[in-house]
Amino acid sequence: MAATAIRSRGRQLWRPRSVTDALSVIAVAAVAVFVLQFAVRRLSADATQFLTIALNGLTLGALYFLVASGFTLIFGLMRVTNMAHGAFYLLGGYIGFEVSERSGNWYLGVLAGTVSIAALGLGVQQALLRRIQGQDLREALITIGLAIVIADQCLAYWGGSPRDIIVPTGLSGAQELGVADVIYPTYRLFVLALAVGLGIGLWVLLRHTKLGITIRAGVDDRRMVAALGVNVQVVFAIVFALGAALVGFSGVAGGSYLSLAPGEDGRYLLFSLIVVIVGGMGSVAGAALGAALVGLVDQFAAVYVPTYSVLLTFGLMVLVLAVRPEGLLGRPA
Amino acid sequence: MTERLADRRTLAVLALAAFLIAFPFFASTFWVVSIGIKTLWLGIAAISLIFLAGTVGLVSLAQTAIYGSAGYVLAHLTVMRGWDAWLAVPVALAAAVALAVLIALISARSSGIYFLMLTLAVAVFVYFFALQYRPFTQGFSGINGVEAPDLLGLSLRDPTNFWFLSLGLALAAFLAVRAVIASPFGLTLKGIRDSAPRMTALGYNVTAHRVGAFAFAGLVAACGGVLAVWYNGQISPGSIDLTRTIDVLVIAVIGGLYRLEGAWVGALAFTLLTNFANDYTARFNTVIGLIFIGVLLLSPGGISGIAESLARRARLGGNIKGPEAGRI
Repeated sequence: MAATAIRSRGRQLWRPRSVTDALSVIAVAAVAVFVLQFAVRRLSADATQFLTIALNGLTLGALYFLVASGFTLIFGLMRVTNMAHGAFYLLGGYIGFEVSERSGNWYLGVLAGTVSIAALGLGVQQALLRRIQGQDLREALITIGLAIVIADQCLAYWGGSPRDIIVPTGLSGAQELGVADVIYPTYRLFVLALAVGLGIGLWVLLRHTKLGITIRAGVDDRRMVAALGVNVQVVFAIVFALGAALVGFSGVAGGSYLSLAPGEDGRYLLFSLIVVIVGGMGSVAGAALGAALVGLVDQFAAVYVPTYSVLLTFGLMVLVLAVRPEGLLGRPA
Repeated sequence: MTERLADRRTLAVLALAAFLIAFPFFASTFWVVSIGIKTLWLGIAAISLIFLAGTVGLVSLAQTAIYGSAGYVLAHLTVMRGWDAWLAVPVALAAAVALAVLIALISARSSGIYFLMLTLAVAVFVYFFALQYRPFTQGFSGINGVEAPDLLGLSLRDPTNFWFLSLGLALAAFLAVRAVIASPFGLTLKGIRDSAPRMTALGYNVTAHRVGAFAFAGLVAACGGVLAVWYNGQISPGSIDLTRTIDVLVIAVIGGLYRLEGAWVGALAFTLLTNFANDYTARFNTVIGLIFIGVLLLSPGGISGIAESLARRARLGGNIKGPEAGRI
């Protein structure tokens, strides 16, 4: 009866193919119900705490989105898994730290971090990856080697102690939100705004510009695009530089409220991977959704089940993979 | 020509065998322990990855997590619960294989780059589990004071005895992997590696074969993990972190992903580098990273691949690329 109702709507939203499919959907429903009743209970018990944690989750998700958007952009078009993404983040942050420290200008630091990582990304793509284009595993392995070298060089120049980038006075301090007495750091709200702005910017770029149309066409079928006379190599170079610029930028943005230290590169690589696996490889909207989910789960788990916070993030990934192996907004490969 | 070649090969194998048997009697303890034994167990971990990469076509970053879990179970049972070591070893191996099956079930539906990422995520997850689940793993400090037991009245704490145990296990791992590759199961795996859709069309259950291969590779890696925990006398989250995971990958790639011997060639190169590069440079990881990139760009077959293509070039006098050139 229910099945006929779904089918009669023309578009099939969900059709169980097997018992495991049905079981996984039941599992998702159970998790959703549990999360909902948990949220209502906590919100009524202590609204200030709940909202603060939610904001923590969203702002962390915003940073993850900044980092992962470059990763997913590069992967979507070129099928290159840039395992040096976390190392790019760390190096961009350190360069931003160095420049803003010496010049006393935070914005100059942001610019330096963004531009230098874009140039590095372009160089890596042209010098290393282009030679072995299309061999995706070999490309991923080479970027792992690159990540080892960059992380080691960062350790050599900036040492093992954590570094913090000082933000300009206009962005420091805290803000009263006027809701349930929540007082929240201005800078974190700024990062959230940055992520939203970047998301809109990427959407406009991909939807409404000639370059964006070419990129999307390339994601669908790059041979066809090349056959139509587009110089795909140039598009590849631009996208790789853009993806690297995004992660260099987020290195400075993130290093301004979460310390830069050796080992952070692995953390951001891991979270980029989880975000794009959850959201769907190559989808920018998926990266936004995945980043918000991962950020929220991470922060709520850190407060309510601190011992197992990482396990919950991981559980989220396994759950998504069990139901949709291609990720929430991804398309089957 | 071929006969002479076969003769030469037998001779080389015999010479190598003689060298390996005599090694602990003439070499210093440093060479036996820090270079020799370490090379043997690192090679066992690496051969499980080489088997997966070369025969199944799946590059796994979870092998460290699997061998680490065997090590953790062994250390937990013997040190924290006082089990007899030889009773704990099968349990540890079984636990590692169970974990391998679990990882395979999560990730076997994907392949290539997705598989690499999923296994990386799993590996980091196991690391955090070791770090956070203190009742079992004792958190950051790890489980210390693991002692190698006696085997047939011989103490494995003696370097020479431990050398022969490691050598025997390494040989067993090598022969087992070779036998599996030559078996019908191995041929099916190669078919899946080359074209999973075709094998599915032929009626093979691709996922089941991948899970089976992963379980076997997990067993091999777990043997390396048991040796590693006896060798180190302890296990901590640091033994299975991202750096160690990448070490095993580096060993397999440097040694050569398409030849089983490559596991120990790579492991030997790696242990030599870790022990001696520090004398020349403080930036050991940069050296390793550059070598890694160089091998990937220039010789996908690794060191053993270089030796092979040199030999072939000398024999045929032509500029011939190996069958694995251009494929990884």
